[in-house]
Amino acid sequence: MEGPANTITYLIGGLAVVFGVMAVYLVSLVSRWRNLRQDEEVLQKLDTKQ
Amino acid sequence: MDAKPRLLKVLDVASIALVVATTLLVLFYAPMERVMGAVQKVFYFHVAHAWVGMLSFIVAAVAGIAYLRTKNMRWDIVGLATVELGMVFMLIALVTGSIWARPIWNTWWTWDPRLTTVTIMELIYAAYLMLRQGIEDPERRARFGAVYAILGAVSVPLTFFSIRIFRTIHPVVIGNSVPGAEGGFDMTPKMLQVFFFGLIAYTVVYFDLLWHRIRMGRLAERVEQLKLRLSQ
Repeated sequence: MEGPANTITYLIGGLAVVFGVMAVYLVSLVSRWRNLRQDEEVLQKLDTKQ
Repeated sequence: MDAKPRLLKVLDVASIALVVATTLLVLFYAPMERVMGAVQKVFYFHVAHAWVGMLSFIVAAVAGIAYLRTKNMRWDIVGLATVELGMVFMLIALVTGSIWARPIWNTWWTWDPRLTTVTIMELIYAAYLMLRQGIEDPERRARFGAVYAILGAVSVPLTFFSIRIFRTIHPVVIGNSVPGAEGGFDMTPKMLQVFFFGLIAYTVVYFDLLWHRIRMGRLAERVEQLKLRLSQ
């Protein structure tokens, strides 16, 4: 009897998508958070000066 | 600036642990499907991400209703946060589904009712984000966003039931099997355990990310208010 189809490369591709897309999203979250924090600090300084 | 809550830190650690555990269970505990082979294991991630995607869009509709009732901007922040997450999770579900389909259906893509409704759903929420970009007044943006999220949520049950209502080749793994489905399989007890573990794990990950995204939304709101104050 034949064994299962050899589809390991598709599994690897699937895992790459699962973790790759999530990693990109996490990087975007961290980057946007940092930018907003910097903006907030600058604006607060300007606000106190005024 | 508010510090990261302790519960959120706990949720971060739990989310990482659950994702690692799910991956290990999928790779080493779940049995190999005897016809499809290794690619069947993509199914655990595919369904978990699709579930979270749909949950996100339902939460957006609930946040929309809450905003329209209370006019509290916090609900608008929740709505935007959950739609953004839903799009990420649904994108992963779409692409992993396509990867699974290649060796099983012998094609990357087909305009099957499920694939079509999922694509429409993803585009509906992409339009939600574009709509918001085009409105400057925060209250108007929130009102339009809330109504849009409520109307857009109709696509969720349509997508979920599409494989049960229409003639399709997409397998229905839980519940009735579809006669024309290609790639369907009966789950063993071990497969079921991993399947439900994955669903719970990614639901926890969703709430963790939602919390982070809501915090970012509040920060963005503060920055916007500071800018307005300085411009006056």
